[in-house]
Amino acid sequence: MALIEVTGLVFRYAGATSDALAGLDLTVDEGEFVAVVGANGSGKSTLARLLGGLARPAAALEAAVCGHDLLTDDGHQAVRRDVGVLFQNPDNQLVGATVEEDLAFGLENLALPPHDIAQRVDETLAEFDLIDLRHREPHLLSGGQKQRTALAGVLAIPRRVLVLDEPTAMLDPAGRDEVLEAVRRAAAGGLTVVLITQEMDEVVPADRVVALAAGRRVFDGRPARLFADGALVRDLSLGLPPAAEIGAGLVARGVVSHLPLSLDELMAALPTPTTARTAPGQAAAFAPALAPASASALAPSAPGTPAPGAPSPPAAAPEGDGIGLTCRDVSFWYDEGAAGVEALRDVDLTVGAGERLALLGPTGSGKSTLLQLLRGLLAPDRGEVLIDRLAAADPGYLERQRRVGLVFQTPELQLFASTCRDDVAFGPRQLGWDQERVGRAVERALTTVGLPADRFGARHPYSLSGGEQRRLALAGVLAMEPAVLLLDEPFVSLDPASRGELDVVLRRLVAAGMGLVLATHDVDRAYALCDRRVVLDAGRVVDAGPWRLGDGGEELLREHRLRPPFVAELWGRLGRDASQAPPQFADAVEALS
Amino acid sequence: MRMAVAQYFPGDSLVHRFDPRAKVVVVIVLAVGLFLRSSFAALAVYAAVAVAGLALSGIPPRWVWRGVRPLVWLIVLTFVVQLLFAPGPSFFSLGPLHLSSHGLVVAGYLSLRLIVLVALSLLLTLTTPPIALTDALAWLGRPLRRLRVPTEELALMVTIALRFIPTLLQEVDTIMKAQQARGASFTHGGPLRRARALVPVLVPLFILSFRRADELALAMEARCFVPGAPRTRLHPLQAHTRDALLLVAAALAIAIAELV
Repeated sequence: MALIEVTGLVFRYAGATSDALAGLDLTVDEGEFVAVVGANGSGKSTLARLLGGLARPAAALEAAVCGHDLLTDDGHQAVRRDVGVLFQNPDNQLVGATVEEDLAFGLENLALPPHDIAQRVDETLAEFDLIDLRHREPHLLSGGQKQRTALAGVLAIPRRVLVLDEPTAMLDPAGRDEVLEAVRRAAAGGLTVVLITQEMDEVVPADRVVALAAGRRVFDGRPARLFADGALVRDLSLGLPPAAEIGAGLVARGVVSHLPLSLDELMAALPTPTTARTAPGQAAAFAPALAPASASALAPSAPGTPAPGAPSPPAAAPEGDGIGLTCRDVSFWYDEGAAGVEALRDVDLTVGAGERLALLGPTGSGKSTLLQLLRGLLAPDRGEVLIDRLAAADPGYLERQRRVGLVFQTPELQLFASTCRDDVAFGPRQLGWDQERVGRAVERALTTVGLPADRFGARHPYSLSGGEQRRLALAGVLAMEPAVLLLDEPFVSLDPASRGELDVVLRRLVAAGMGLVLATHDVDRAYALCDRRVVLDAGRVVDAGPWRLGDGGEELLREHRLRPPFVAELWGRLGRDASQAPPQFADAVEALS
Repeated sequence: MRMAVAQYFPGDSLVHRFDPRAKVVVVIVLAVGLFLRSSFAALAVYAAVAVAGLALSGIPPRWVWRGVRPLVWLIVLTFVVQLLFAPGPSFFSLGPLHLSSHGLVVAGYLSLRLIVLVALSLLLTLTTPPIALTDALAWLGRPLRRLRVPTEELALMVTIALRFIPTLLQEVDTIMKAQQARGASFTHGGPLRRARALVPVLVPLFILSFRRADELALAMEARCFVPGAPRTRLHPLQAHTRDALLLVAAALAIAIAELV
């Protein structure tokens, strides 16, 4: 039985010049798990709002959800009872002062008797494994816990359909698994799930995937079919799961016969010495579809390949010498609550001039704090942080500190000026440079991030796309001409195409000699960009140095709720030397052919 | 990052367990009593009540001090102003300054009264979760609904605002640090320059807050919230015998203060 049956769905936001949804068709059967993908602005979030009765369609030929007609006043209100919607940012969804109060919120709105509310809250707490956290305040929860609480809050009201709008975009891998597992369990209980996502490996287990472009459905079918269509994947700026990325290259070369979507499938597909190779003619059947497309289909998210339409002028080489950073025995406490909260303990760390270092660790491990200490924004409670062997009190420190660029997480949230040029010029102006120098620095920074001043300089920052805003914020830091860049989760909550574009920019900076300290959960990109890594957990450095893949490095990452690089896992499974696993996917394809 | 207002101190003492409505009423009544009679003896009675309450609540003195600290200047100012400007024969003069023994007594009395008042209100805010406090105020404000004051909605608004204070403070901190990393300084220059330095903080903060308000409204509607519709509560307020006894005890304290 179809729970969602919409055809010709149209919606336009007030003041917008085009339709967010322009005649969308969607059918979802009871108990189905459907993934919805599409680039930013393709109408995914609008769809979530409409399905949840949070906005009313402007028009539709048919708009039936759980037996309610979305076009009528009563229908679009009543559907909220049956359809739960979980959004991306857990911080903006938790209403209650404690986990328990938050779970009760929806039930209180239904005006149920207190006894029934308490009973249902208890059930839901147990179901989502939140009993120990029931009295915890939301701002003290980890990202995964917050989102799990928000999900429990949505499902505390018994629902028939769950719509999730990029529920894991802001979480680390452990938090992501935590939330997806909770969703899986709810789905196993018979719930119909519509999962909107930018993460292609979340699409793989779906019964069906629906791809949107410009407010219309452009694909509806099994995930394997979508990913096998290289041209479509490229046109929609979708990425591929890592296994499929490498697999697509192998299919194009005729090494494997069909596109694998997971590591297991890739392993099964790869020819072993005992099994016969795929007949060339058979492979060729796939080649026409994939060969021309594969290179660019890889591009949006494959480390190392330039994204389509990405900027390609040479990057500004950092002027002067590189800058080295040193932490000696650094400890830091946040002054919060009754007692201080320890953020870092006895951290020893050296970043050589021009070196590229990945900072890995689960959320709350102290990565952001460490970056802020390295830039001198925070002062350590114990130990010392040196920039080029200089302490804060030494002469020449300030001049060097300026050359340590720190880009915060989601830095586009800090844009404030009314033109891109002005925003990027903010930093250089604070340095007291003359107008000509400021102008030059701004021009150069904008060019480096692929937003040339002649096209973007006069535009309002908020008129840019999410990915462009992220790069604009990066330009604001680059304009101060740093020699080392500290990046805090630069790829988080971007769509695959934007991630690819940012990757290109970083790669270019690195090629020009820029030092890099990259705090990220994206281990594949970190492995491709950085020659060393530091693993942080609970404020301590667990290990600093080379990746040590094939030599306990993978286990170490797993122990600290991180994932090993995909190629290292693949090399390990193939019985190859993981320490030789190529950082670039393209090289991996080469090595496997 | 520290909250300027006194935070709730979780606990399970008798003081914590009183119905918040009873606690609000008692604190208001005691405060009125405190101002009704000006004598050191009466002050001593109220001070004893505050001290006994704090002792019963099991709140560490450090937390009480943290609540008092922001008000220390007000207390000192009260003392100094009263000391300098109270009328009466002076026992010490220096230029235009005259200190009188009467002034000393008045200044001492008024500052002590302020301290007791602060202690009584801390007793309420430290032992009552903000949500319970808003619920109590909403209940006590019920008669206002006759005048079409939407007390329930106001209480929910306050509750949600309280829930977001820590988040908002974290955000301000992040934005300020991010702009500092781009060379902004919030401590240098004259008042005008400092005010202008806040623009790169306030603009993102406003945009962020509006976006948050929008998303929060959606998330609330997605959980079947309808403004103005009747709601129930998971933990409805419940009065016990001990709350009646608390009210009697408060009345007794006032009676004693009036008699001594």
